[in-house]
Amino acid sequence: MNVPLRKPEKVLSLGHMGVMQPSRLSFLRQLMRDLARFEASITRPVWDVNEQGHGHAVYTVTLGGYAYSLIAFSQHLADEDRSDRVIATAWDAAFVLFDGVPDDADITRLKENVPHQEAGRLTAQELVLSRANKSVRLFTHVVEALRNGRQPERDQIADCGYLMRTTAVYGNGKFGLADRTAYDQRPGLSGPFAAEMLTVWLIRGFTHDLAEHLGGAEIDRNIKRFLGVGNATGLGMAPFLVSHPQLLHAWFHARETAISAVLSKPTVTAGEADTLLARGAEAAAYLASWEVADEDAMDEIRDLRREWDDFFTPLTRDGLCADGGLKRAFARAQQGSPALEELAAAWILEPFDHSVELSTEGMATQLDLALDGAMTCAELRALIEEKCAWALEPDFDCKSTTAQFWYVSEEKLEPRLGARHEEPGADRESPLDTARAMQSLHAALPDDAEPCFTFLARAPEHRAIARRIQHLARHDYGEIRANLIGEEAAPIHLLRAKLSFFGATRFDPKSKLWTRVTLAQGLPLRDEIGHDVPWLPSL
Amino acid sequence: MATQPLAFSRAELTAIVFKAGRGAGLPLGHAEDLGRALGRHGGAAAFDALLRSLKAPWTEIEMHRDGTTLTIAKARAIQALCHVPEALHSGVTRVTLRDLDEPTLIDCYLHGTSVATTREGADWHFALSETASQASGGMPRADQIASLDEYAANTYVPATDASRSGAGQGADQD
Repeated sequence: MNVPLRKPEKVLSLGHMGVMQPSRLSFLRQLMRDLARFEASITRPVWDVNEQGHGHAVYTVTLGGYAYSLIAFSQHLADEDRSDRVIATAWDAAFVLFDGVPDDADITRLKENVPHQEAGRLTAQELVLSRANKSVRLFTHVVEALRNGRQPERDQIADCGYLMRTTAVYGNGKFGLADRTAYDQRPGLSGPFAAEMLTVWLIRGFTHDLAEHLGGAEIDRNIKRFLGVGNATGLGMAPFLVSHPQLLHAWFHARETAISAVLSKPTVTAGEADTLLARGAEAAAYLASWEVADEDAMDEIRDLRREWDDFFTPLTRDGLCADGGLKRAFARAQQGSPALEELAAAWILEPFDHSVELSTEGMATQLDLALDGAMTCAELRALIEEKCAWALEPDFDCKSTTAQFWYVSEEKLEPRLGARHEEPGADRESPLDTARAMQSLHAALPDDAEPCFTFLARAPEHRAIARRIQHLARHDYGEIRANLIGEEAAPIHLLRAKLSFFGATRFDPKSKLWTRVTLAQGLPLRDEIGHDVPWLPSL
Repeated sequence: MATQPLAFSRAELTAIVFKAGRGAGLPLGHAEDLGRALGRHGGAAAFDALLRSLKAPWTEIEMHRDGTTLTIAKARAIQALCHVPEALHSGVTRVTLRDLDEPTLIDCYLHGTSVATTREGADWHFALSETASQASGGMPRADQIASLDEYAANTYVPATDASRSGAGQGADQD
């Protein structure tokens, strides 16, 4: 019997999105499978870095019949200029993923543009642009340890987990880069954010090489594998999930389909049960080592440690292999907190390659939203009542329901969040007020047989939301079930959901507006493609 | 003075045109349609037409349906063209745009749709066909992008100190 998909009202609530964990469907995990499947190979044809660690390096990946090169530029950066804020203008290192193998002229051109990031100009020959700053404390420690003939302290490695953190990873045509459509049919780059994930994974290798170059010795392989790439993510990422309802649906639908497929299996084999038990223990170790400074976030982690222990400790191979054993276990997790349920939802996918592989197809959809002009106003009204009941509940005359507004800042053209009733600018707000717009359309629609396109010609302010609602009729997971302009809406929940899909670990929220995470931690090194990939790494 | 065509990505152009549309006061849905049409398929001539069109005020559309024919009078391209395929897939067999201001934009809006276009004096007629329309593409000029950026700037808000609070960090939290 097929287990129904979890309802979008649950999984797309901020309460669940804000506690999501990476899974086998995460894009970094997909990348690792693709690198192995297509037998990718990586070389480092250029290492032109001086004794201060400044210069450039080239890493070339052969993947699915194409060559791509990460070009890394490392430079001196004064401590006072090192900032993870998007307003920064200089970084320790800058990177570009180049389509092919660059020649000297390419390197010269890129050297003049890539370190300047937004202020430079790229071409269709480049796929991804990024930059990173050192974690000075850990980078210095690692280099000094190596210079003194020692390995770095494991406590310090575990505490930070990366040598550099990226502050932006741009793709899909930004600043003149190639459009995603130029490469999204290529083997290994067809998945969502595949080029960006490949870039991050290659950057991680560069950070290892740079530390070893300066330290004059190799980092222990287990330590090196644990060193990922840090990332500081703020509001800039949050609106994406709202402005791409097609992708939101594709990602969540794929995940829920995989969960349903796994839970619908009548039995679990002994090998699958062993994997589940091993991954469950991996999760416990990860939770035990996950420490953050924010007290509220740390309390939630402690609660999750206890919940996971209560959930996982009684599980046995025989119990999981019994008829309906995994389904019963997951049902038990669903009796706990949303954080426990989401952790268990990711956990149950671990042993099942086939279900996951089938689900990831279509996660990179680029379909446009289209308006069905023939739908009558009455039908559209009924659709709102059926699919958007959550949007009809809030009272938008209440100040707290409209307390926030999203906008694009004049200084850096980046998303910001303002206090509507205290700050100017709400007249220029970005359209993240989806629930309010749905409610407004519902109030304006006549309950008659007029085709909606003629109504929308008279009331063009409702055109965009009408299109979204029609999309939602066929794509249940296409909308976040929350009022994103209410006083309770915290962007950190959106960041957590999106970063989980990327495969980020060690969420370390610094406020409701931004978080630190680690990417590619524990993943195979570039000479370990095809090796085991951990779900939740710990040292 | 006009400058040479620039190499922009289509995603970049789509975003620029969308923002310019919003900055010029277009409703969100129309700005989205405009971004897709011009951003993906527009060349310099279409961008010239767009810039002329954005200067005109937004007024309510005059749409008249008579059985299976639909007429839009005093048609502004950036308001009316998005309705053409919608109408033709809603039981309308012929759409007429009367006094269409910028016919250059037709190809961009109808690219990839199965809609045939005929002209009769100042009227443009549209009906379903079996072949998909194709826009000629091309790239805008730098001066056109600069003009669009000016419209886009109307959507930006000066960031306040409050909005920056808790939004990030410097080296002190390394």
